[in-house]
Amino acid sequence: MPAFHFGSSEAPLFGYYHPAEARAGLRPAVLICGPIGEEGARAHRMLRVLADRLAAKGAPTLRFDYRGAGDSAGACDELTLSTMGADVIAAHDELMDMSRASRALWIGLRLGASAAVRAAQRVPRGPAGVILWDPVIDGAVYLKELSSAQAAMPLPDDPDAKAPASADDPEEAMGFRLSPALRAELRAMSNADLKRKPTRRAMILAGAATPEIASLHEAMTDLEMPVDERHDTEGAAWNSDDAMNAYYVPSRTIDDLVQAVEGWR
Amino acid sequence: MERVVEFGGGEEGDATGDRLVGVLNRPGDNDVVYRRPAALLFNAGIVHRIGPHRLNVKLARALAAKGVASLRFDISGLGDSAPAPAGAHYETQALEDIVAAADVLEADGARAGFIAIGMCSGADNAYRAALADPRFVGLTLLDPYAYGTPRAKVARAMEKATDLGRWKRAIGRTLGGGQDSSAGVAAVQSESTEATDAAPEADNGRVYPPLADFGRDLQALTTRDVKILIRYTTYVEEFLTDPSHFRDAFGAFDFAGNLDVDVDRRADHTYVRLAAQQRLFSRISSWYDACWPEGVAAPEMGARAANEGEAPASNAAPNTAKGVAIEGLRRAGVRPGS
Repeated sequence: MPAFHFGSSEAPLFGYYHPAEARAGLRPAVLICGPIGEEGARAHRMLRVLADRLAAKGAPTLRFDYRGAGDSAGACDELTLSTMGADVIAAHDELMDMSRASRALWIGLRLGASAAVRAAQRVPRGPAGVILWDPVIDGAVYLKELSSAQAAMPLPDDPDAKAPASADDPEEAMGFRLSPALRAELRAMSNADLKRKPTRRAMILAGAATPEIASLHEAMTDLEMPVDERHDTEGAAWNSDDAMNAYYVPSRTIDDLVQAVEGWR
Repeated sequence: MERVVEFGGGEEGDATGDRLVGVLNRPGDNDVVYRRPAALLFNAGIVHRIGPHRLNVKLARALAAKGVASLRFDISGLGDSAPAPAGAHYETQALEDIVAAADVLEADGARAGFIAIGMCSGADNAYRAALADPRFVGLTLLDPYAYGTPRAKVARAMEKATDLGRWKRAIGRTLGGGQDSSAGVAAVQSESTEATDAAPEADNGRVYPPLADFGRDLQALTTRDVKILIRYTTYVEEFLTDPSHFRDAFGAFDFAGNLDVDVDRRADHTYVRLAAQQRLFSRISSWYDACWPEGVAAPEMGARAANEGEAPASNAAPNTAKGVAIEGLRRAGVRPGS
C-alpha cells in the first residue's frame, strides 16, 4: 500500500510512496524532503501534487514525515536538524529499496532543503543530485522569521502562555514546540556547514536572486559542484494560510521541477 | 502502537481500491482498549489529517496514554486520501468516510462505540455523523455553529467599549494615518454597537443551519445519550463569550444533562499557543473520563442499539452500518449524492 511506516519499529517514520506509472525505471527516483511545522502543513498538498506528477512521468517518488512531525513517531520537540538528516538518509534507503532505481534525486523545500544538503555530505552512496527549493540558508534568520510570524498573529492574551525569553530564540512558533537542541542547531547553521561536496550536481530554485542565495551558490561552487540557479516567479506564494485555505498549488513551479527531474543528467 | 490503514474502497469486489488513508492508534490489547469508546479524528477545513499544528496527532497520543484507541484519517480528496468518485456531494461523502472509519475500528475490535472529535467544518461533519450512525456515543465539537443573542450582543458591546487597548489602537491609527482625527475612534464606536443578533450565514463557505435545526439535532443526540462537549474560542466572540449565552440561545431545548459547553477566551480558533493546546487536551481528557470512567466497561454497541429498539450493527448484514448512516442522512435532511 502506498502509505506505510518504515524505519525502526520503536520510532517508525510515516511514508507515502508514489510508484512510477508506465515504463518505470527510466527516470531517477525522487525523495521529497518537506518543510517542518506550519510550513509543512501548508506544503502538504503541493508536495502531493508534485509527487503524483513525478510518478506519472516515470519517477518513483517518496514523501515522508520526519520524526517528531506529521504522522511519524515522536513529539515535536524530538525533531532537530540532526534527526531530520538521519531521517532523510533512512527515507533514501527505503526509496532505493522500494523502487529498485539506480539513482535518486532529492528535492528539499525550506528547512528540508537545508537538512537534505547536509545529510548528502554524509552518505557514501547518496543522491545523484539535490534540488534546493526556497532553502533556509541562515538558521538564525529563520528563527526570527518564525518568531515574527507568530507575533503578527492576532492571538488573545493568555496568562498561561509563556512569554518568549527572546524574539530571536522562540521556544514555540506557529503551534509547534522548538526544542533547545533544534534552536541551537539553527543558530549555528550557515553555509560554512558545507565542507564536503554533497552531490554531483545541484539546482537552487528560489523566488529571487538574494544575497543569501548568492552566498549559498558560491559556497556550493567552491566545492567544485555545478549549480543551476533558477528563479521562480511564483516565489513563496504557497507559504501562507490564505494560500493553504485556497488549496493553492504553484503549478508553474511544479512544472519546472518535473522538467528538471526529467532532464536530470 | 500506531499503524497505517487504508480503507474506504466501497463494496466488496470494488476495483477502485481503498482510497482513504489513516493512522490507527491502539495502545494495548483490544479486549482492554475497546472497553471504552474509541475516537475518530479527521480534517479541520482542508488541513490534512494531522490537524492544525499537529493537534490530531498530539491528541491521539494523549488519548493513547489513557488507554483510548483512535483513528485519524483524511476525508476523500483531502490530505493523502484520493478524491471521491465524481459527483459525490462533499458532506455526504464526508459522512460515508467517517462511517467507514468507524467500521475499521469496529473490525479491529471496538465494541463500546465511538466519539468523533471535530474542529470547525470538522465539527459539522462530526455531529452529522453522530446523527446518522447510532454507534456514536460522544462528540467533541470545537467551534461548532454559534448563534448570537441580545444578551451576548450587549455583553460584547460593553466589552469592546471598555477595552482600553482598543481605544489606544484606534487613536494610534488615527494619529498615525493622517486621516480625519475622529475616523479611528468612530470606527471603534461603530464596531462596539454593530448588530450581532443574527447568526452568521456563511463562514468561509460554511453555511450555518437555523438555530432551531441545530438545537433540534443536539437534542436528538443527547436524548440518545450521546455525550457532547462543545468548546468555543475567540473565533465566535462576536456571537457568544460565555457558556450562559449558549444556554440563552438554546433555552427551548432539553439536552438531558449530556451537553457541556466551554468558552476558552484565551484560545484562538486553531489553538496556536501550546498553553491553549494543553488546556484543550486536559479538558477533553477530563470530559472523557467523566463520561466513561476508567476501569468501567462502557455498554457494548449491540446492547445500546437493542435498548434503543434498533438492530445491533454488529449482527447486521455487511454494510448495514453504512445503510443506517445513509438513512440517518436522509432524516437529517442531507441528500446523498446530491
